[in-house]
Amino acid sequence: MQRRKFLGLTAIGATAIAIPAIGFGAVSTKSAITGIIQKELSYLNLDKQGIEQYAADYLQYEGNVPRIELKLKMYRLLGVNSEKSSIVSALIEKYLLSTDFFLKNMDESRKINYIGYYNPYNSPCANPFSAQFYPEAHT
Amino acid sequence: MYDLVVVGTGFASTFFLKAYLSKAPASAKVLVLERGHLYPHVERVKKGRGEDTPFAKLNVNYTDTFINNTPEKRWVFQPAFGGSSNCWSGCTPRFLPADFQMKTLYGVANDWPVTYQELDPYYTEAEELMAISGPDDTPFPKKQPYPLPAHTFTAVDRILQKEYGNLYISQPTARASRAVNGRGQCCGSVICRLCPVNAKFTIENSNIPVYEDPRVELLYGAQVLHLSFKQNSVEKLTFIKEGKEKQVTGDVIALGANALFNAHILLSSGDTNPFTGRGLGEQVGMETTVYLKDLATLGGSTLVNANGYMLYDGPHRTEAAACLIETSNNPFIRLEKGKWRDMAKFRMIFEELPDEQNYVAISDDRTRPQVYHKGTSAYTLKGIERMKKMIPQLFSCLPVEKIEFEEPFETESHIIGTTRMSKTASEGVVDKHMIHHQYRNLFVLGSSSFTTYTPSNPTLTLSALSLYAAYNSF
Repeated sequence: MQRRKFLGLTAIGATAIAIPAIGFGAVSTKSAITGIIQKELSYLNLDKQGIEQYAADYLQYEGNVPRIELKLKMYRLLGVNSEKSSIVSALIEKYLLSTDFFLKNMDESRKINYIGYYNPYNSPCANPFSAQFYPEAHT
Repeated sequence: MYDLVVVGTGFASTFFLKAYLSKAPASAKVLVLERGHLYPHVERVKKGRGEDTPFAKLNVNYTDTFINNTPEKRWVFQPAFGGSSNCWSGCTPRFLPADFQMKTLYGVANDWPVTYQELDPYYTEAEELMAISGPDDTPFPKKQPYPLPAHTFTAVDRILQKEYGNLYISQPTARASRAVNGRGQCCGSVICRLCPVNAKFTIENSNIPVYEDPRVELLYGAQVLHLSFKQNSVEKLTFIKEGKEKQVTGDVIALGANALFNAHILLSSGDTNPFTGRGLGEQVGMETTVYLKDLATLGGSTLVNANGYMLYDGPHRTEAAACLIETSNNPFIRLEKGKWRDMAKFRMIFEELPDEQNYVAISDDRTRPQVYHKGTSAYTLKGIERMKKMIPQLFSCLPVEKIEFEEPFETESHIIGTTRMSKTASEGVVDKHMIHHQYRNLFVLGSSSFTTYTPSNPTLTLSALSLYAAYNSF
């Protein structure tokens, strides 16, 4: 985590210098989110419309935090990945939990569909790794 | 004039009242003063879904209730009806017998004036009242089985359990493994601070009807300011409600607030015991991630699937803290193709020692204590280093690729010490029945009375202590 924070700060510093040259305002938070997901999970068959819906839902549920939105834009521009940023890894993990990927046995060959923003208060018992979904683990 | 005045409605007060009322006559008069208000579970879940509820603003934010002079060390609690039962995780391991004898066995800190054996029947009753789920075989002696079956293991848990026997067990927990007493069955949503299916025991869903008892009068929005002493007993109690100061008298007073406010009330009352307010502490926790080769963490049934005791008790405690291992069932993901769940996460929890330089004091604001904490002790830091050295060997039964250690968390959400229990007044504040050494009609309940700060979660033990104190005092 500490290393990630350091890299995050380094990235912010670098971006502060680079922003005027690359037109920071041209990137919306929503497009930053979709871009980060597509790049990070490029080896999976993703549902593009679903990613856009996820980005919209993310901003509705978690948005309105200018600091996070700013970081997402910068990370998109700088290509910061989940290994270097806990914000990026949390964004990707939440996206995958909001799809049917884990419910369909993590099959990387099939198309992955967005099924709704992951929130256990709206959909309790949705932890896809739990005994609810893996009862065979106990036999 | 009341027979008993109780401060707070959390675990400590509720279990104390349960035992007291079982022995009190039908004519008994009890007053309970609660600074917060009832914020029902159903309304809290609405908030979790992003809906508005008028209950959300009833209670003050806990961070506004005290002055933290060392904010890098957080203290977390809920000032509301039911106290921190509203936000706890529901982990209920018993302490080990050795935890009560740290000085005798390891020359560290002090012995508790009460033993594991004395507490055993009260542990059993507290486990029954909370309908605890747990395994048959435990590293602590136990005469009765747990009320509910144990939660289920993952594949990783099964390997560790095979290797370490009863030093690696399904965690005893108040997250019900079966629907019980109006509570749902835990389905591993792992947002236990507010369980979406109400599986976790809380005071609100407890079915312990002390606050509905006709002998009990419950006053919400009443913050206790101080006690007035006369000839080594409490004569009256002063509280503030809706901005007005009021006084009440009782034959017996029981403070069941948390360790910040129990101490603050005593200090504001002029208690001169040198230990009052001193020794504020809690455990230190840190996350460890283990990357596995072709072994996935799947099929666990609750937040913390298991407890590991492999680094807990032993001669090392003369110089290095005990460590309790919690195995996580969070929906963590390894963001690598084909390895999505090939990892395990463990929370390593280390005991801490009371230190006089960590303390609660009064401030210029009579409603708010101020808090100081100088940081983690050398004893606990040695425990962390010991864990880091031993973990590779300890987990060698797993197909480990890599192990990563995170920085310690800012809090374990426990608040301990400040009115420590001891045999004599020269060593602490309350006796084995949680009665103040000097003021003999005053109980000081809860984890503020803990003599030492074992790595095990405190709630079950403080609840058992409340039962023990009331049954043996009335």
